[in-house]
Amino acid sequence: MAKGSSSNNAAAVFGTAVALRLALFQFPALASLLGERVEISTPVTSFKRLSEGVFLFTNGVPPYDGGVVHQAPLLLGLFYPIISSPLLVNLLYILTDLAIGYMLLRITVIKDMDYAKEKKITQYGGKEEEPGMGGLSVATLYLFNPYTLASCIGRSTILYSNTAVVAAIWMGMKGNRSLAMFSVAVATYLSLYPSMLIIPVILMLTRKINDNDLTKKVTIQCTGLFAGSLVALFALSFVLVNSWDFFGSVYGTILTVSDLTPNLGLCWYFFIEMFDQFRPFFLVVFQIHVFIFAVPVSIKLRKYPLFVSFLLCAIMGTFKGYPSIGDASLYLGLLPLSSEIFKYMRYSFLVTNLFMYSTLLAPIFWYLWVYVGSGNANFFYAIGLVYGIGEIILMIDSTFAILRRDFEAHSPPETTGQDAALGWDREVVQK
Amino acid sequence: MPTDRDSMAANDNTRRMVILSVWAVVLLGLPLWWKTTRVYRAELPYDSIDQWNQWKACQPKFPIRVNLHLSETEQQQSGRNPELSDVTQGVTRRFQELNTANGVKESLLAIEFIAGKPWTGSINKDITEHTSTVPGTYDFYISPSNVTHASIRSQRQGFIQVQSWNTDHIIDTIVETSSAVFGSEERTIRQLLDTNEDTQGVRKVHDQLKTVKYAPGYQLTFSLFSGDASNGVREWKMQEVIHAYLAPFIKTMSTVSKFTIESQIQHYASLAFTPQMDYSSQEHYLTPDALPNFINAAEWSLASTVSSLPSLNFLTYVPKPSESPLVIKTGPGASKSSTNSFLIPRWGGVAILNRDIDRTKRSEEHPEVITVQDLEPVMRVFLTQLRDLMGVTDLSTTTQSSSSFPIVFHKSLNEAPTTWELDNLLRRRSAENLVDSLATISSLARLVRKTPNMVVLDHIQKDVTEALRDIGRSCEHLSRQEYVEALAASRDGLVKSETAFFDPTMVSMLYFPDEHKYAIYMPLFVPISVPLLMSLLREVKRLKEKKKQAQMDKDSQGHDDHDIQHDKQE
Repeated sequence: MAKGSSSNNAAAVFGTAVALRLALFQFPALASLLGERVEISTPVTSFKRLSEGVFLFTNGVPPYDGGVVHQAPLLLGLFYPIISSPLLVNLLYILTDLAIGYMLLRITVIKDMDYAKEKKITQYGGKEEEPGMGGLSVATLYLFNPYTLASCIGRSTILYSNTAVVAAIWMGMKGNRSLAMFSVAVATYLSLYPSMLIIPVILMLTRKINDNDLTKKVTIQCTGLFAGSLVALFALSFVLVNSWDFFGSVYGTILTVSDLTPNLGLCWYFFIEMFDQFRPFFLVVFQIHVFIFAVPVSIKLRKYPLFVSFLLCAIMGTFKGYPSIGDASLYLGLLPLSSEIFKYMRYSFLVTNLFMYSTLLAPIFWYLWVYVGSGNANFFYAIGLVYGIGEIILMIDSTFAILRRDFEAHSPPETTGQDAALGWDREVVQK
Repeated sequence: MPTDRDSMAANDNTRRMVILSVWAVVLLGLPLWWKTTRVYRAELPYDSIDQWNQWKACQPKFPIRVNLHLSETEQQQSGRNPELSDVTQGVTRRFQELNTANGVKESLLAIEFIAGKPWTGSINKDITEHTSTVPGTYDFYISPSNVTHASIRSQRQGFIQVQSWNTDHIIDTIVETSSAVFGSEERTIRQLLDTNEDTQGVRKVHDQLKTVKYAPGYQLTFSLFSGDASNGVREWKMQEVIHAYLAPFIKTMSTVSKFTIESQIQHYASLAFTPQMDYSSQEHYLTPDALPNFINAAEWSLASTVSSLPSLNFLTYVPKPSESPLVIKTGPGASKSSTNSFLIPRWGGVAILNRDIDRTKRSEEHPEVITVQDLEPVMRVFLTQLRDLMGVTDLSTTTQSSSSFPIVFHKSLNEAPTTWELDNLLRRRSAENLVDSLATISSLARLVRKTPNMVVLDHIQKDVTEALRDIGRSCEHLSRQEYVEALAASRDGLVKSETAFFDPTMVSMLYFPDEHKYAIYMPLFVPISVPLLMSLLREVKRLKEKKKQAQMDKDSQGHDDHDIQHDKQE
């Protein structure tokens, strides 16, 4: 494979991605339609609210007073100079999306290098396992994922949080501690939940260190870097908006789920229906539930930090208060990084169908509920549940697959003898 | 196989760590559970509520001062003059005796008789310089005459004429007059403040049936409902009538409550039913049973959107020609109601105005206008109804029977309450407010005590405490004869106690038994806790087995070791 052809391919993929996005941005009606869909922009990622915040900020009104803006102050600062030009805003979105694609490509390259050093898994029939997807394929899967496109055209600000997450993983794989921790801090700063990614990123940074003491030292150093970056970001925000109001407005809204605009998630309906008496309790339960998985998953799968970060992103995207398809685009983009587990997955067809089903029916049921009035909130929520089930099955299935692969690596299948017949039914998996 | 064992140990370790990390979060969540589902209960002042319920904290007293004035001219004429101090002491003593006879330890209306200045005026001339402007302070002017006679004037003055000018007779007459004036009020207030729970409810319902709940302001709505356009009604002179007849009432009442007035005309406002026909008298009539259906609540718009004050409605209904004339009577041939009107308790009044269309057409310039003359009888009825609704007691009707000599009560213009009636109203309304707010607070306290999972927020506690303070303030004002201030304070107390009672945060948890909690927790926590507990149990089991294994390994190693182990165990 010549280097030239691969770079040509890359140019073609990225060029097409840019062209497609530019073309779609040519229809402002589409952008505003997508921007208003509850599946794409939530109260904490809506571009409309961001513009409002920037407008208030420009006019010297404290942007977090009115309870409309829930985006981080530095995001307002980022958009402040360019908001008046739609072209620049669109370009920023396109370039950010491309950057994620590029970083995914780079991550795959690093991962492949790691993979080349590992002992090869012997598969049924004595074959060696083939390497997973190439970097360009991973980037293509991300860039041309309909969720990614819709989220980008809808100008959801989750894109920036996603960028920070992917950058953190890239830097973690590269071994750049300070930049990795800074990226995790930025992601945390933008949408809080990615703070739990600090564990897999530290696992990445320490994956080549065998010395226990050194690992501990690096971990402490990284935690310090993370905390320092976060404090610096907060301080910078304070300098920008000159008040600490943004804490309540940005993180308070995320944690207390105070804006109950319907979305694809599971929280809004619960908190609408709930007795007020129990609201604080279930709020705590729901939020703990998001974070409870971080430690056990990282312990169990500590050899696969890339997969851990995928799983945690999927958990966030499923259980957080304001999920959108932008979250799905992130974890669906991270999943191909562990493409070697695909062959062990059993429910890919079901999951694909569940995603398609909910994607098609969510707008319809929303229309039936909100515009026609022949449906009710339960219709839309049911679709949210289907979507959630799809995500959960995907998580369970992929976790099963990676554990299965781990098992294969430790106990290579015997081509002959009793184990092959009595043990796991490998033929089914291997096809 | 050392590597295998290592990897198994590593696996065990990992599993244990995973279980531990999940359990750590769960255990961390437990205090949060306790904290977030804790039923917040601010402590209510139960002790002082109980004290108030028995009137132990402050017994309301309604002091009344009566200044006695003896005629000076008569003193000089006859030889043996009754001493004013004797009269005063005598009256006071007689009142105490009366109370003791009635089994009352202490009179609620603490009437105090004070020797006033002698007077030289004439009975026919109002003594304006001695007019009392303080509610609760009155002047009795006593003079000799041919017949015993008492006349209660409007300006807190009473004129008593006695037949024989001696101390005993004067005392008798004063006592009789005083009990005629204040006796029924004393009884009413005593019933109100009665803390005996058996009798309380019944009497209250009876007494307060008609009267509207006290409010510092009311909205009066005068509505003209015209059954049909063909009865020729276009306009009514309500504004003039209000100015002429209602103004004095409102002015006098303004110390107790303020009024805002609006009027409306609705055409084609027909009845929801057809009145019966009495062919003998050619009249359409409504029986008293039909009256509850008179208000066509579905079609007549009576709700006022202008203010949030409690509203009282006064309807004038002009029947359509097909049901005219319309009267109220019990049946055909029975005598019809003289006022052709009725009162709806706590809501307002209704008057039916029959117009003789032919006559009005002949005699008047504008037959489509209901004139002031037409409206006068209606307005008189409304004024009487308004007095009833406001709880103004007509002293002349309540005290007529008992006295041995005639007592005349002077009325003021256009049914406006007299000063006597107004003072009476001030005292009774204060007492009512005190009783009502205490009843509200004590039922709130009962409710909170009986419902242990009811949330009691701080502002409820604050409201209750402040209401109690207002009640106390009102009680003090009463004992100092500051009736206007007492009424204001009692009203504040009532408002606060009701705010606390009807607070939405309390209502939501009224019917929330413990069983509901299981229904809330089960669907979430049973699915979560089963794998958590199972994994924990399995892990414990595995640890035990491992220990056993280790024990057995040791056992097989040597007999000596086993003995040592055995000793240790013993």
